Amino acid sequence: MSRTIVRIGYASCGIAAGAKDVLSVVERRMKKGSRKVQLQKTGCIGICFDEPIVEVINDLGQWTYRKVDPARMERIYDEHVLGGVPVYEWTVGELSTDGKKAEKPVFEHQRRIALRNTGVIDPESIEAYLERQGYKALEKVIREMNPDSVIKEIMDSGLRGRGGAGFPTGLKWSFCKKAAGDKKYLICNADEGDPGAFMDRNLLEGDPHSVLEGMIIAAHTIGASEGYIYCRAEYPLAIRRLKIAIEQAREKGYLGDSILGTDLSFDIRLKEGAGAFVCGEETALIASIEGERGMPRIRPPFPAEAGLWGKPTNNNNVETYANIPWIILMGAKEFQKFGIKSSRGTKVFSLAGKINRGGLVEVPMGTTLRRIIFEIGGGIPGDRKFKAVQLGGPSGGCIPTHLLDTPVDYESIMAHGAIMGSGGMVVMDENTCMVEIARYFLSFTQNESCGKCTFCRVGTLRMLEILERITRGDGRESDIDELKDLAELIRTSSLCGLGQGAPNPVLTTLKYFENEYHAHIVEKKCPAGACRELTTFIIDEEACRACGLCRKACPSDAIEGKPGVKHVIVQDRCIKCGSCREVCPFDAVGTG
Amino acid sequence: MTVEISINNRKYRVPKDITVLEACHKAGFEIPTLCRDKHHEKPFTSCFICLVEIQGAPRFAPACGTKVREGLVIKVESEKIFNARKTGLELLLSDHNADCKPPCHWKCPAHADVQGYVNAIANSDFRTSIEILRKRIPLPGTLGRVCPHPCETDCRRNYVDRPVSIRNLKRFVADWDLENGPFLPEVKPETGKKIAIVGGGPAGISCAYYLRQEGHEITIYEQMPALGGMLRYGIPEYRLPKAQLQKEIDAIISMGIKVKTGHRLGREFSLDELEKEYDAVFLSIGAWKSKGLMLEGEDHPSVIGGIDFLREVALGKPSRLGERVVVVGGGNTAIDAARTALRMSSRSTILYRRTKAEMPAEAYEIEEAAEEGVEFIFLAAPVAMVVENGVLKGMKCLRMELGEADESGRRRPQPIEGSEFLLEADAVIKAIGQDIEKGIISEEKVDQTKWGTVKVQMPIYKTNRSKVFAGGDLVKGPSLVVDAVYMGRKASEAITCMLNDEAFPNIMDIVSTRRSVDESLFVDVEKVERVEPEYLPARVRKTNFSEVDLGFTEDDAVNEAKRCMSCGCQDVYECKLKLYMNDYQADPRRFQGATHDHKVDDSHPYILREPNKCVKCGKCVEICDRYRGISVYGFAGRGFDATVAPTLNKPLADSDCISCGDCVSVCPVGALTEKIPLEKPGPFPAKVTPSVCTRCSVGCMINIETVNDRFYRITPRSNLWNGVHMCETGRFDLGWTNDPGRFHTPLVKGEDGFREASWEEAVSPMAAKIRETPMIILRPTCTNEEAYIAREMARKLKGEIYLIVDDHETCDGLYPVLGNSGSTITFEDIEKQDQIMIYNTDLVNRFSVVGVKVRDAALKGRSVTVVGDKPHRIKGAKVLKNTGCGFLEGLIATAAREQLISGHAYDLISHSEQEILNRLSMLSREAIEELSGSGYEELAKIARTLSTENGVIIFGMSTKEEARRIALFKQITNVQLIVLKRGSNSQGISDLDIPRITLSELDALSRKNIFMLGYPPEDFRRPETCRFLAMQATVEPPPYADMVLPRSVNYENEGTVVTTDRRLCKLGRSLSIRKQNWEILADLARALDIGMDITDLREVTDRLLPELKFNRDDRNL
Repeated sequence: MSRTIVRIGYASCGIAAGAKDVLSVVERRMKKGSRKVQLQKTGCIGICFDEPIVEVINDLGQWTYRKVDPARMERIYDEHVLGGVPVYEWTVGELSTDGKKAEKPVFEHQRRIALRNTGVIDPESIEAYLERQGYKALEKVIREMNPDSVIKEIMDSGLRGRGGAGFPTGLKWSFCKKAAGDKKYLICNADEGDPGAFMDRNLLEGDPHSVLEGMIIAAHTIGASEGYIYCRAEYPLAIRRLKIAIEQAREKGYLGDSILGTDLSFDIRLKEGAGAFVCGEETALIASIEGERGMPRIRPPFPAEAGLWGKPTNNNNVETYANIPWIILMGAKEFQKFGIKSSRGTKVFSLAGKINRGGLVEVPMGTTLRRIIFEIGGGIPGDRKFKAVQLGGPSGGCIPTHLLDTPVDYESIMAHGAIMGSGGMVVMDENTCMVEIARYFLSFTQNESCGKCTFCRVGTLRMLEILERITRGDGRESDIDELKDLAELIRTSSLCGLGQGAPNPVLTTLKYFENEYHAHIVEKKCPAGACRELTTFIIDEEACRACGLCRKACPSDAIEGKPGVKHVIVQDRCIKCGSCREVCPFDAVGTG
Repeated sequence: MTVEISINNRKYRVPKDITVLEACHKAGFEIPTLCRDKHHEKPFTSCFICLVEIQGAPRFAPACGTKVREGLVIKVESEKIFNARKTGLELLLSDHNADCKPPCHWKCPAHADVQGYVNAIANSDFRTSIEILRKRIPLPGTLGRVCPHPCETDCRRNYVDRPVSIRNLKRFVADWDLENGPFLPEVKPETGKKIAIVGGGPAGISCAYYLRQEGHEITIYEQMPALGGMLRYGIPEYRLPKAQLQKEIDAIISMGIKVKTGHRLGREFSLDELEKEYDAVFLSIGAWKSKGLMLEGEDHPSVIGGIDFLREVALGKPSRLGERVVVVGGGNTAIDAARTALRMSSRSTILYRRTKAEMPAEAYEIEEAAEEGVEFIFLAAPVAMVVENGVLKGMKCLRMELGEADESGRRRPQPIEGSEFLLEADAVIKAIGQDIEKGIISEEKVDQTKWGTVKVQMPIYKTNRSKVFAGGDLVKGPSLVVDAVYMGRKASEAITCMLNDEAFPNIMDIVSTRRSVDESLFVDVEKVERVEPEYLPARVRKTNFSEVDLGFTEDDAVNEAKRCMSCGCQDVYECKLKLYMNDYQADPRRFQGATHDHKVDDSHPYILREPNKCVKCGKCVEICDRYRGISVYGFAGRGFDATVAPTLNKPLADSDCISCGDCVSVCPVGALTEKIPLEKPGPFPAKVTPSVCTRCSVGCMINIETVNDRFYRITPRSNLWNGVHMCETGRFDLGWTNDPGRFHTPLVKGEDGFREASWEEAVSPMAAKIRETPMIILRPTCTNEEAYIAREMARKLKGEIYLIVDDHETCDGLYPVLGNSGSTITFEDIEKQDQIMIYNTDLVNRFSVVGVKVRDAALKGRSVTVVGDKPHRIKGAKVLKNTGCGFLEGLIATAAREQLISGHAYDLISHSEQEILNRLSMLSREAIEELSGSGYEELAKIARTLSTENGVIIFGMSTKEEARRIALFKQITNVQLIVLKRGSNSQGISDLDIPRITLSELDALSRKNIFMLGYPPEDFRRPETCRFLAMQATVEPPPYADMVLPRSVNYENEGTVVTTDRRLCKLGRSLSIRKQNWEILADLARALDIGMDITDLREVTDRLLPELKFNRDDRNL
């Protein structure tokens, strides 16, 4: 029998779920074993909800195991790695009819371009990247193309900025290429900061070379000699793997002077951001690289004319760069096959919140929200109803049930008041209070405001205070108008996207769920039962089977009852955490 | 290059590259902005108050950061824009946790500027105090005695110890005014409008006072024999002496007010008649009718109304009271009546139906009455008078107890059944309140309320009759004097508006106030005991009507005023936020929520930082970083908690601050203010005198602000060359000028040292000495006029005259080569030079404003080379460490080698300079490198750019040889020079052909009578051969002089100076208390009798002007 590969998902998602212990099992067993087993660490393959993930690959095929713990690993090692028989019960997905082969329905509707290598290769090995046509696109650009033809190819592909705003990438490059200047800079924005978003993180952890290659192609195209990757310091693994990748690329001559023997000189520095959300805004990011406080400045002039140190600067997001080598190699036409007219290609989303299969997905543009959430993401846990999905992070907005068939493309999402953003998707169920959600996102932006613009610095706090009093039950009839007034002014009187987008969660929840606001303000009730001050939990006598789960779950001993005796909540002691409702298998806990 | 844009649907052609804000200002549209001014190169766009609409844009655009472009369509005024700006201001104000004005100001019913007049007293500036006081309080001596001072109730000093004694301070300054003045406001030119005032009480007098100032003709009609109303006839002598009141009224009447006493409305005249004769009428006839008790026997002649009783006493017609008097009531009138009665009979009792705690009278008055022996019966009320055989025996009374609280919040008294008792009395005074005499008013067809008060339209105090206004007790019912004074003023304003056919500006002054105030704010404030005036002892005062309260002495007043904590904002007259919130009617309380409460940073000697007032505009951050290269301030924190603070939030004093004050200049609010070199800051409305700073030769253009002949502060004239920039010395080193130790009169040396002498005593003996072998020595602080007069004097006397400078070496080096020591361009031209070389000169700690100009030029792309290791803080400057003659000679040699010397330059230089040039021309590259210590290529580059492009060398205080080499380089290459000198006018004095002398040269000269003008050099000693030495000084007289004359500083002088960049500038005389230096010289010339009679300084200036060589005449800026 030839070599067997054991591949362990070793991105942040895997490590967090316990991949390290699984890894040590394999390492220990390998020392003892005499068989030819190769261990590979790889990035996130997207099914984060099932981490730790282990894949076993041999001549017979590839098998993916979910939720592997050290004990499971021992058995997989014994039976599959050594014995050659897969442990079917732990493989991903449903068993096929013959009962022998596992499928991964998660990937059925996905198409992986940006994530083509993530979860497949060892991100710390440039050889692994090279094996999968790595740096071939760069060679093609240098040997067969000129900057204009590169720009034309990118323009033809229809690639738009994946950081959120959706500006055509080819056009952006052409501006910077045309800008006069003896020195030009290139920036890769890896300051991903939206709550619930981890696309860039997993991409950098899983396939750093794709990003580097995209950057080098861009540098060659616009004539930049220096590049910066601005990555938040909270991503230590991504930073470590980027450093390794940069060093490897330098050794191989893809970075530095005379790249591939030409007169192209380009090098990349890594700048660690200190965790200010606003530094994802490009002018603030530039100020931060320059050593100033990360505060946005007015545009124009745009960075393409006067950016870093006042020089022409091109700035793209991680995912945008990762798409570039694929487009160059496969051609604009191939890319155009995915997506719809105004939005071509694929988009990576991170699925989070009240969803069965949270994780990283990459789908063709134009896929409907319903398909992403229900078919790929597996819908909502329990029997609860879907309520809304938040797109675009704290600057985005929520989209309600009746718009679930909206295709994900820049324009369609914008039309409903949300934004594509960088790809965060937070799913909410019927137990989520939309006023509370708006309050949560606004408190995030308020805390992250750089404090420069009056409306953003003070205005968002005043909105937040209104939302706080509504969720407390102290709302006033005039509050909704006040919120709308302030939201409009903050949106129209702030310098950067953080301020301009800050009111969006409030505006979209008001648009689709104004009745929830009214319930809080007028009836002093939280329909979702999430706002503590407004909620009373009650056990339905009919439905209660006296199973005692709620009594055990209650952290404040507020539930009285015995086996066989219907349970009752003692309201004086109840702290309204909702644990009883979460655990009740009979849906007997309701709110009043 | 211009572009066409449209603003509010009108087309304008404007230069390209300007901002929308600048374009709008050019087109005459006012756009508010807090974070932007013209002194900033880059817009920061933080406040978003300047927002405008741009056609096609999805959002508002900040006008300050948006550049114009062809076809731009801008809207700057609309309801939407107005509301957006207003909301922006309201958001800023929602966290502006600070007071514009102090609580005493608001609590005063007349809204007097209490902080202003109290602070002026603390500064011993009584004149300013009375001027501020009179703006709102026309009868300060009266109110200073009788006002129950609500202002003191809200005084923040209550959180520390006890309130400032505001009332007594008012009285003190009013009494001072009557003794030393009175200082009355100006009366505007006569308008020809006539106004009648009916009733000469406080409301009427107040109305007359303010209307007269407007230039109207005023006649007061008064029914009583004298003016004053209740003040005269309702307040007893021991509280308000009639003589004092009369003086105060006389002062007001002396402004040209007509008075008709003995004229009663409805008797001598009617409103119809007044309306025919006058343009307006103000009714203020008061409330003079005592309320009745509604009891049996009340009509007995021994039952008297309280106010009637007091009036009769005032008129000198005292009622016969008998042994025991009972006063019914608990208000001020009851106390006044009881205390007056006590002075006229043996027992005086107050009967009040509630307890002492509920008495409406002021606590201190109750206390004083009790001290004098007035008896009190509480919780009892009369039910009937007991009259036997026509004689009053007393009153039948019932005991009371307190029940539920009524609408006024006081507990309602309820009779206790069966508690009846007899209170014996020979006379009863009913002092339970006053009413208006309804009949008089109703007969005149003026609408009244059911209580008889006159109905007026607020806030203009106009009655139903078109020309008739009303105020005082007649409108409000019995109330405070200060209320009456306020109503008189408001009505006067309304009347003037009506007469001028203007709308009444019905806009309240909107202000910011602190969100919460409690003891914790004042834990660091030192407790200081409140000063109490002396009072007549009770046993003495109850026997007569002498004034009880003896008032403050001057020391008392000043000490008590120093207790004021000056709670109001120093910036209240300048704050842009306050201005805009009033323009936009922004409501500071629209948004209620979290606010910050930062500590005031009082650490810095000159700058007060109040972070609660900061609007985070970032101007201080930018100006310090950009123009000073320091970065004292920075942003910290995020979100709502973002602040602007010194590095690591340390006290400002612990930062790298160089005390230039630029941040204070640009702060749009009161977050950064200068500390005022007075005991208390006011703020006071200051007199502004434009001038030039003469603390060094740079000559920053300044405004000197003074308050009643005291220095208040100095600010830069920001539209002139130095912009908002100054240096620590010029801006803040001021306190000494207010030093009371400065002497005014000459000092003559006698056997026991110096003694003060009159000018006559000093000038004649001095003239006698100076007449023989005189030597006049000038110091560079002298003006051109002083120097000219002194020179003419010396010439006529055939004496000598010299100038002693502190940096003569530089001059000694420059003169032989250039023939002068002057700069060839002005500071304003620096930024036009492509190449700027700073030669071994510190532009950070010295001449720092020149440093600012160079830094600015560098940021605008000019190339700067710094030679030497002096600090510079210029970003991107090229630094060459080597200095000295070798370096400079290397530069000259390089210029020669590179053939940069113009052909005829050789002919222009002297033989000795030709020799130097010849020697240097022979040097090889290697020799040049060795000589200069610098690389040849580098030198060649500098030499080339300095001589072939626009280049300037900036230097000062060099050695003689260095100066000589720079001069030579200048002669052969035409580089420009800026020579920085220490003495403010050494340039002008040199131009007047006055030779320089060094101290050692002076010592070598013999047997002279010396007069030195200006302060002596630090190491000056009296020359051994000197027979007579007259000098000048401000505070410390030099012990070795024979005579010392007080020197007026240049803030106190008229005259001209020539700055080191050769601008001719005019001094502004901001203080007029001291004799000017040129006047002293003129006196001396007269005493010398040498045919010099100088009376007009302008003539002197005209005569000397042709001799001056200046680049520019800035006298009329």
